[in-house]
Amino acid sequence: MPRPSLPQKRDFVAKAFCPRILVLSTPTITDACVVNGCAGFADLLAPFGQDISTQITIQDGQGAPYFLDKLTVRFTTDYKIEKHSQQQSRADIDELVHKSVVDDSEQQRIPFLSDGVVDADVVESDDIASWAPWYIQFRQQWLASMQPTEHESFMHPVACMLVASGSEEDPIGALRRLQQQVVVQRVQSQSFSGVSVMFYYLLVHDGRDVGAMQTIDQTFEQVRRTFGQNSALVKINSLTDSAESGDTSDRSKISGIWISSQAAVQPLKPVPHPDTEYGGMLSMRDVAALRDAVKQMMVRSVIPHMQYMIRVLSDQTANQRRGITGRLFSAGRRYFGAAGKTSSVLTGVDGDVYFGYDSPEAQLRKLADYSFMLKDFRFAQTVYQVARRDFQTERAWKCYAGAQEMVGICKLMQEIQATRAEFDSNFDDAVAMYLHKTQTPCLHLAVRCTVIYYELLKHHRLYAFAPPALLRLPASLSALHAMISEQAAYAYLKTPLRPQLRKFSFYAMVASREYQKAGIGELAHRCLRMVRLSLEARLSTSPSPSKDSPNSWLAIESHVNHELGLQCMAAQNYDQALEHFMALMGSDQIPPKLQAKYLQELLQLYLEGSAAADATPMQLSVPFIDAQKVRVIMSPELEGTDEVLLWRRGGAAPSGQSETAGSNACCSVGENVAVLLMVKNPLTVGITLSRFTLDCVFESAAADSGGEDQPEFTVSATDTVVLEGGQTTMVTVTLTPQRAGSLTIKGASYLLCDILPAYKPLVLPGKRLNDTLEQRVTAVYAPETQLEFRVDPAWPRLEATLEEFPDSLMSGSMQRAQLRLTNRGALPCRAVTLWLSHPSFFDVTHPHRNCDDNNAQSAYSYTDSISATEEAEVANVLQDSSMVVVLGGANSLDSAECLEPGNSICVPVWVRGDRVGAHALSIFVGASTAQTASSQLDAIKAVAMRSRRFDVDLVVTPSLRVNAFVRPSMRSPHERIVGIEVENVQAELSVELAQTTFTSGHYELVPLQAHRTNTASKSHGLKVGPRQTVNLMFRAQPLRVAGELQTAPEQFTVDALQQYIFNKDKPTALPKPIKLIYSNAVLGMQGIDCVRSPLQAYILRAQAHRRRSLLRTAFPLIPEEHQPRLFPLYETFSIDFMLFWREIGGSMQAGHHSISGIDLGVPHDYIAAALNPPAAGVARAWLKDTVNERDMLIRSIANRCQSSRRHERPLDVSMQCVQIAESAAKLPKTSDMLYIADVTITVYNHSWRHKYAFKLDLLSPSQLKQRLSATDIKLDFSGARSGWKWLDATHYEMAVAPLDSVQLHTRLACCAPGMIDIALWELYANALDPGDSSNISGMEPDAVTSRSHPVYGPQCVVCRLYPLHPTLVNIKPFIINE
Amino acid sequence: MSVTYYFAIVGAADSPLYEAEFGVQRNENKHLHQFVVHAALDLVEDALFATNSCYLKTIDTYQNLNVSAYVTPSNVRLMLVHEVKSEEAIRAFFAGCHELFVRTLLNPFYDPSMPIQSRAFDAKVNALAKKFLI
Repeated sequence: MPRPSLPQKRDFVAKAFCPRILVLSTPTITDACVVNGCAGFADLLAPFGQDISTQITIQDGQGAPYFLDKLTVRFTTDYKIEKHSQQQSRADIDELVHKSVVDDSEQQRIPFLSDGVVDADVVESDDIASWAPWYIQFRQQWLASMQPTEHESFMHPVACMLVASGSEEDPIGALRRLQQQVVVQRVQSQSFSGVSVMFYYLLVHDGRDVGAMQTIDQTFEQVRRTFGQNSALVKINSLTDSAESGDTSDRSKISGIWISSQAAVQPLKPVPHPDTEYGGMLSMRDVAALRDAVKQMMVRSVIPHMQYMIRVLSDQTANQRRGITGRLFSAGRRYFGAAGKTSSVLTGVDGDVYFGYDSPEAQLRKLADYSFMLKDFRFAQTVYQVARRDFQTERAWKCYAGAQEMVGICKLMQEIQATRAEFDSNFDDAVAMYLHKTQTPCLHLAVRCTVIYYELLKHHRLYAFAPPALLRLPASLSALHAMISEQAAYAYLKTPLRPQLRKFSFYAMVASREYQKAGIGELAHRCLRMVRLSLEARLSTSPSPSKDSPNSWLAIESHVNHELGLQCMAAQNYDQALEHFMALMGSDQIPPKLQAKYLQELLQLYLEGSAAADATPMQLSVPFIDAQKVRVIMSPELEGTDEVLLWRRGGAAPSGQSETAGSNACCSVGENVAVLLMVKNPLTVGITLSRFTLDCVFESAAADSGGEDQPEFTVSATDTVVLEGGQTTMVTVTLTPQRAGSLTIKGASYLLCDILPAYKPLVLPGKRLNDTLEQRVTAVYAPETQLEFRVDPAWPRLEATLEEFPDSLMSGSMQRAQLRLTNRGALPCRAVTLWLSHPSFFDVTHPHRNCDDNNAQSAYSYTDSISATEEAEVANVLQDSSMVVVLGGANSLDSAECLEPGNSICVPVWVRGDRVGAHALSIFVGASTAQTASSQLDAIKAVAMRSRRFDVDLVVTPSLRVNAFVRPSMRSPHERIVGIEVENVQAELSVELAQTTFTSGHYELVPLQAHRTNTASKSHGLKVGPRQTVNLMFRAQPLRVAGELQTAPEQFTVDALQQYIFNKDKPTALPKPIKLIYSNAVLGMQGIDCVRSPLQAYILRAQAHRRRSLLRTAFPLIPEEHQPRLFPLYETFSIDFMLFWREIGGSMQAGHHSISGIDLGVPHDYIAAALNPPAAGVARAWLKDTVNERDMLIRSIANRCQSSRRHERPLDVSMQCVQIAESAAKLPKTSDMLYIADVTITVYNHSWRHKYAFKLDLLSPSQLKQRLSATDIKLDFSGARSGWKWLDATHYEMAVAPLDSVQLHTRLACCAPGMIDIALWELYANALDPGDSSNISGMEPDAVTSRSHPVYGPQCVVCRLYPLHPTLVNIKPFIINE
Repeated sequence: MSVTYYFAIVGAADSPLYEAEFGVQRNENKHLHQFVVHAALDLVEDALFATNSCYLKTIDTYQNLNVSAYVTPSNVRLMLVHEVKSEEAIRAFFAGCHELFVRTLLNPFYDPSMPIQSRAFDAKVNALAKKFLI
């Protein structure tokens, strides 16, 4: 269809309101027309009524001339005013819409909307008509099928054309008969033309009738004479023989005249036969003759007749139109001329008031209509306005509405830019009147009015008025409303300034809904697609595309998607329907009821559609799987955590690799890999997932050649996962790779609700790159590695299981657990290493191959031959106690180099409750297949090993409480009494003590009482009942002589520390082995070997751990890696104690408690000596920081030396009464005897380092008052106790060597027998430098010297000592045998 | 009385920040209400030029649904779909909601283009609706 140009559009309106001519013909004529393919003569003439170029100048209503360019006339064959029933008109409209749509529904193209963009240019330039061609069809047909009504003269015939054939016997008679027909009478009585209707007589000569050829002119002459000037002659059917017509182009041209005319006027009229040839008997000359005849009729007769009528009517109604008089006249007539009024007001067929055709009101209307038909719009408008007023006063609403409509049309037909108020109200009024004020709603008129108005608006490009105008039509007719809404939507697109997209989408949605209701599915779908596109769209001309914010108009979105889905489903387009339905899933904003509905429909849809579509899994947004949270776990069946860690010696826990770029997870061939996925249901309704499995891609390694027939990997599938609304569940899928290569997890596939196969890709961006500028300014991600892992046959696969690990233990008791290590890989595992977080809790012993040999041997090796004192030399090195090499390394527990594939070993792990409380213990097991791993580990390098970490919880309950206390020995100054207090804190169980063992480098400890008293009950040791306390006393006596101690560990520490502080080179030598003395006291039946049994390793390790933690807190500034070269494992003078016990009853657990570092209170505080700079080899420090650092270190060590140790006595004095003799001479004047006692005084030096000079003053009780008043010592020396006195010199100045003693011999005299306390002395000690024996008393810490830093020395360099405990001497009375 | 109100706060980026329905809830109408409001957004700008006040009164109607609008200085639009016309009550309701919205904006953790999910806000808006509309 050619696109109408703009002026044509206005013509469209003029054509709709063109004059009509009633054509009546005789049957002969009809026959003549039928051969030309036309139903009647009116049909034959129809094409020539279009756009007759009249080219005449005529007068308007006021007599002013104007030029009438062309005119259209329409020929009708019947005239009848019919009642339009409401139902019928509705049905008509519906039918019409359906018809017009069905024709052109294939056109699904939406030219202005593409993906996401509205093409503004297309919107601007395109005509609306091309977007919805069916509307044009509808419009044309609608106007063509308009019926005449009583209130307007438009559809009424202006003239009657009577046609007779020249071949008839009596043409005049025939014409007269025609004139007498009922139709003509009806026109004369019931039309606006009335009796004054013009008749036009046409005589047709049929070319086939050769006989009439001669008489035709004569006949016409007769006709003309009879009927006057309004008659004409035309000749048709000159082609008597169709075979003559050789020129086919002429034929088709002639035929085309009718076809195009029919297409334009009545597009929906059914085509009779496609091969019907119009004008088959007509020559070009005939056609021209017909056209000429019509033109002549119009120009010569019809237009002048109409002009005449206009003039006559104009004169008649002039009064009304002219000012106040006219109004007065009409008002007067209204009030006073009652008779005229009643006569003119009639009731029409549909019950509405109208005016008789001869009434002044009707005449006015006729005048206006005629003027309008002749395109004199200005005059017509004034007349309509006058008529409108009259109709209004008479309440003839239909007439009024018609007048209003025409006023508006006239305004718009004049090419004057009108504002809205001037015309919109007219149409608004008109439509409202048509619909609501008339007796029965004149829907057809309202539709006509709206259609015309809309066309005019489009013509004037006043699109803003269009939508409201269109939407005034009632919404009750779905089909019409749909079409109208669609047009309104388009009009919104064409609004000035910018297309109103949202309005467009809204009305397109309304249109779609209405189309759906009307059953026009294709158009409904098209509209909805437009809605969806426009919702996503933005304007192509919009300057900056707004950021892609997610459209959150969810209700709209879901509704559109749902409707589209349903429509696609109805159209059996399952793929698209699925697409739309899937877009619905996944939003939790939709109410649950709808969600459930959508889900149901989706499933149903799939069931229906699956027959057609192949079952390719779809990507659904349900459920939600967070790819970030996907975890890949190797060997999930084993306990513990699988990691690749860096192992290094030095006590620190194996740590994760810091720079691990590109190294992703790795597993061995045949190893199970668990993939954990967090699956979340975003809906609020529950769903089920079944056959949940993973989709993986395997990339074979280049080297791998074998096993082609094997599957590369196997994947397990989870049966059913039920997810409630909003629930998140963890789903585990197990993969087993069978060949070397790399495996990438691409996605998850599952059956949704057992029906819908779905697929979910798991895509992750890798690490955000931040290396280059470009990477920093744009978001660049590394390739994702988290969902990818290598399958490497060389990867160590050591299966480690921790068995029989206890949950709870009594403190001190030992229980056996075991670590079963199996090499499941293809290569031997080397450097199998353990790392223990709490070394004192574990005793790892020699592994054995036979794992099933599970005879629970005891932790202790019992033996009968335990000597009281054993000596053993142990490596005095502070080892790293937390790492234990099981296989293949230096100091490994097992001599084998590696664990061969398939072999397994069991490592017994004794767990000891070292401390009371709840503990979280971790054990790491590491292994490597690399040859160099163990040697690297020995060389204190970091080695990356595959590790398994066990985290276990252990609760240790209290069993025994063991305390040690130290007392000075009265017997000897160099001895101490060590008391052990053992309290059984358990409520029920008794414990028997089996053995005590003291370990020291210097002292031997001898039990003070014999514990094995009861030899009869040998099976039991010393029993400690519940809540009982037992005290064990031991005497500690030095075993060694001073000379052996020159290479003592203490000296090592002093030297090493001094070097460490002041020298540039840090110390490298390790301490020498130490000879330890093990003092055992067997309390039970059998002794426990601590020296040669594996227990010793544990003791050493526990000691090392304890010592390390002690040193860590004592010297926080010394890094841990330097400790083994600064401090020995055992110090010479410390005493360690172990108490072995066994439960009586209960689980018969055995265990031991230990006390480390029992302090005898003797000075071995040697550390301070290291703080003084050595004579030579002080590293020069250039930087202030270095100096500060060193000072800080020195100060911290010095502070500790001064604060931590309690009061010490470097020297001890013991007195012993050797012999008491009666004095030779009696005291004068008394009979009393004087008793003389010889006393040996021993002064013992506890220090191994310093020689002491001392001044010893022996005091007599009488001197006490004056000597001791200065001090706080309160001694009771009164009465008989004070009755003695030192006899010889009481002041001694001597020196004593380290660890040596000096003896003095003196005497005392006592006047009475009895117990006296002779420990009355005062000692002033002063340390001497060991080298030159000079006095170092001046070098006290506080002394400020001229040197840059203070001098540090031992704490008790100068001290004053007093007796600690009494030394009682019993002076027995002598029996004098005289 | 079966009156339905649909209230939406539309952000400057034309996406709804907050939605609520008062009165009789009709589930099937939710999308229609949203559609009407969405379509009326096209008219807000035109209506802005006609007045100086924030309250634009009724700017659009569709069948028996009226759309009233209120534009804040930051071009956040408060839209109300209502069946009954009561200009003053709606003006008061809008003013109250505007204040609530401004208070929400004061929250440093609230991004102005984010949907408002505060339950307190919801409760207060409902209280306002109860006071002025229902």
